[in-house]
Amino acid sequence: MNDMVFDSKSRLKIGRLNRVLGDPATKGLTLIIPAVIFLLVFIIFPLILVLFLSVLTRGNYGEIVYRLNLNNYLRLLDPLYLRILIYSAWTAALTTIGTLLIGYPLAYYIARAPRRQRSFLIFLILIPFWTNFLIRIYAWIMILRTEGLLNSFLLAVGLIHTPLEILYTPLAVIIGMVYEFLPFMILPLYASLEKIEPSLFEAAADLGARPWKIFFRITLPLSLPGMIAGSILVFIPAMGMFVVPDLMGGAKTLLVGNLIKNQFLTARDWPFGAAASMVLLVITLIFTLIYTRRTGFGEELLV
Amino acid sequence: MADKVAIEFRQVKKLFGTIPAVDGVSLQIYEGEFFSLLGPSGCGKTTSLRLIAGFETPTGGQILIDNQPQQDLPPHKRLVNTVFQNYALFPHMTVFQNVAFGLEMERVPAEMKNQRVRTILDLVRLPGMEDRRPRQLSGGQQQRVALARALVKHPKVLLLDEPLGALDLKLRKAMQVELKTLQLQVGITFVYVTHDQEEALTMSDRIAVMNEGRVLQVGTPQEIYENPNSRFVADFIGETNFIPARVEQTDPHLIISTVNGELLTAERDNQSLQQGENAILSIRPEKIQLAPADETVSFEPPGQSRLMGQVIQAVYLGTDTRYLIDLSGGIQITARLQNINGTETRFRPGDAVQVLWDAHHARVLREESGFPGKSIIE
Amino acid sequence: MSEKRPIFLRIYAILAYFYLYLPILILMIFSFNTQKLNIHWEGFSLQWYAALFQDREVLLATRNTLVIALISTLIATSIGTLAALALQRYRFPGHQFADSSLYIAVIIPEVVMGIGLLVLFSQLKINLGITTITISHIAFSIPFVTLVVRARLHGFDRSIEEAAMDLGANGLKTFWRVTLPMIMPGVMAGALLAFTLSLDDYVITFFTAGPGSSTLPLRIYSMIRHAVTPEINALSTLWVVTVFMILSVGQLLQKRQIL
Repeated sequence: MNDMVFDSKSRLKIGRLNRVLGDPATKGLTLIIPAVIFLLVFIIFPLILVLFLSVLTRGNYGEIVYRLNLNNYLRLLDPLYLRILIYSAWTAALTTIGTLLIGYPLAYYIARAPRRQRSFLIFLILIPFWTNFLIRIYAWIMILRTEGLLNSFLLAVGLIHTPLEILYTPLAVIIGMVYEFLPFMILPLYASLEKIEPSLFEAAADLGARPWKIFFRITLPLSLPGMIAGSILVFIPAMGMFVVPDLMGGAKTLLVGNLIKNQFLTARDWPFGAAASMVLLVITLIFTLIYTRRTGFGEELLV
Repeated sequence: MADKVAIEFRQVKKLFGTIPAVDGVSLQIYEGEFFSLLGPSGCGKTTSLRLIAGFETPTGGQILIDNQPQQDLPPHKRLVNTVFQNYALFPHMTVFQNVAFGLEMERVPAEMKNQRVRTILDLVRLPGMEDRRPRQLSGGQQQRVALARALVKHPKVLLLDEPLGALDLKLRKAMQVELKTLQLQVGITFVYVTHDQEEALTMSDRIAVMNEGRVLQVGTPQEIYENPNSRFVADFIGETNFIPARVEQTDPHLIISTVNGELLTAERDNQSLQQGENAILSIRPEKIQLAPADETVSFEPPGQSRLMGQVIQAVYLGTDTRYLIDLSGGIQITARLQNINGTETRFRPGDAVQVLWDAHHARVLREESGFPGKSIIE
Repeated sequence: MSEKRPIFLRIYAILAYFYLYLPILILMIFSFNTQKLNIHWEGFSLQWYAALFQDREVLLATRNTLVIALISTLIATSIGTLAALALQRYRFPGHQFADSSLYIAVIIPEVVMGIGLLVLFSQLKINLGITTITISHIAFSIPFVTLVVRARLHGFDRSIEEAAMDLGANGLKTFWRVTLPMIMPGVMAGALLAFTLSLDDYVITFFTAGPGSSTLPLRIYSMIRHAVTPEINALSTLWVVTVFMILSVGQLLQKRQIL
């Protein structure tokens, strides 16, 4: 990168800089130290603590017994907990598919809109999401409740005769999560679709391709990077979600996030919760690594 | 000409909002010819090409391909194919897949499809590149893939939108020759858009010079060069000198007077100039002869014209020497004399000279970039 | 160039936008409802807004939220900007490590970060409260600020700095008078992001808040859980409107190149 001019071995035209500031490598270190300290102390170190915690056990009175063992991890293999893990993955997958199906046509619409309209249309998508996400979830609760607005509407119109029970079911959780994660799918999809050169569509038409053929042979393949990016941005956080299941899913719907939270708060089995956290972390890391190995860290997503 | 008409424009208009990109264009392109649309940026040549391809629909008028009106035909149903300016190769497909794409749309059976692809890749001299991706190819190679992709479908007409623009000079010159040879080999009609008049002159059978959405003149390269019908065409093609003049007499000869009052005879042409009109005399630098002012030269009006002037600048250009001459009255002209006799410069700055030319080499044109609003078809 | 989009796509887009806005609009409309239960529309009333302003817990939570957001934004932006400069411009031992740490901080699930901090604070016997919340917010904001500012630095034209130095400015002066103003839009964007993240955060705050240190998101959560009145709607509406105004102003300033 030609940004990396200040390397302790490089020569600069402006010799004054070197003399005044000292060794550039030192300068770099000075600048980065605060951030690194913060991260080390408050993120990396805690993770190590959690790792350590996960191989200890909970004593009878809730205290921690300092005896190294892998009991917690073995406990996680219990079908009860495995089910939760699988269920979380399944929910995350459904959420991803949901956002993909709902978000793709919208992203396509905006990407093919006249240039001047595009940023405005994207802006329009983001406005509802500048509110606190708890607020949005509450709104959905209002809508999906048994006495909620959806049921009132359907009853009034006569489409149903008894209220639908949506809230506090897995369906409600999916609805809530899809809504929450929609922008995370739409934005990368849009970025990917927008990059496709218009002349490619013309060339395909010129060569005899009808509109649907163009979509399947040109548009879809070229938007694949966006689809993958969006999927990662949805799937990974969705796996660790606990707020939506907590508020909209009722007692029956437990995801990994809920499990962890419960262990730390209600059940007070910190070591077990720590183990679950580690598992979640590892799964997250694996998926992220797979993605970045393929496409590199998406700094362009920031734009 | 008795040749069949491949493409015809009938009073075609195209408006973008209120701006006329194409403003009443009528022309005929014959089968098998290399036809160029030439003009500066924004003159409507690319829009015209896109109208043929079907990416734009005319606001008025009609386009016919092979005598069929193309009115509502979408691009994928037209029998023409385009080579795009930026090649528009599909980045996610290999060279082979790119070229095969059009044939797949036609549902050509696999055997034949493969064979046709290979043949065309040989024809454009890209053998062995089949499995590469576009981004692994050089500009010139990408250009050939774009060509192959369009040609493999055996279209009636090939449309090329400034395909050589992105190439460096040497490669461009080489490709011009290749394209021309290819066209002759394959035998289909080429409609070629360019802003480079030298390119058009090199490759075309006929050229349509366009400006501001209208066709000013259509003709062979010689016709356009030697017989420009308007100031714009004379100016746009090659180099020329413009000498302001006034029409003194139109019958039986065309006589004009220059700014310093000198009278010249010029060729009668079909511009229907009136007496008293302001005009300009266009004479190309290579058509001018110079002689020392005090030398007696055989000078016979009305067949020959002569003006007196003084050399301001002499630039040696290898093949010829270019002289900048001042013709009093604020008019300067350029003369090019071939360096047949070696390196000595015959005239020096300050020399008084006679400027001579054959009257039939000069053109008298309307002062405004006058175009009559309809095309002049040869 | 005519970009044709089929009719069904247009209809779909309209429906999609409607779907995106529906929850918020309903929320806002019902904040003016006289009825308590948010089921039917009874009449127009501002009573819930009044109740809101008298709700001490909400007011306290609001104050906390803003204080935490402001402090954490300030600190995180400063640290993050310096880090971005360091990473983008200098080679030093540990460059890769710093890069990786920031990366991990971004991808780590919120729950995991939350409990990590909880474990840390409990081991260090630090009481949970506003301070711990603020520290946590700084911790998760730094990587995002760094990311944003780094993206901005990417296309930075170094020759302008060199010109300044050529004209006699030393390193520090160059930074203050040339570099910083030029990257200011990126820094502002990073600050805005940090502010939003802090304002909005529930999960991590949940784990690092102690009794008596409530933030707005925490308050909203318990209101949803326990005391469901249209007061929440009123609160939500105010929140939406405020955020909207702030960001619109931000957009306007950006358009006029002030930011």
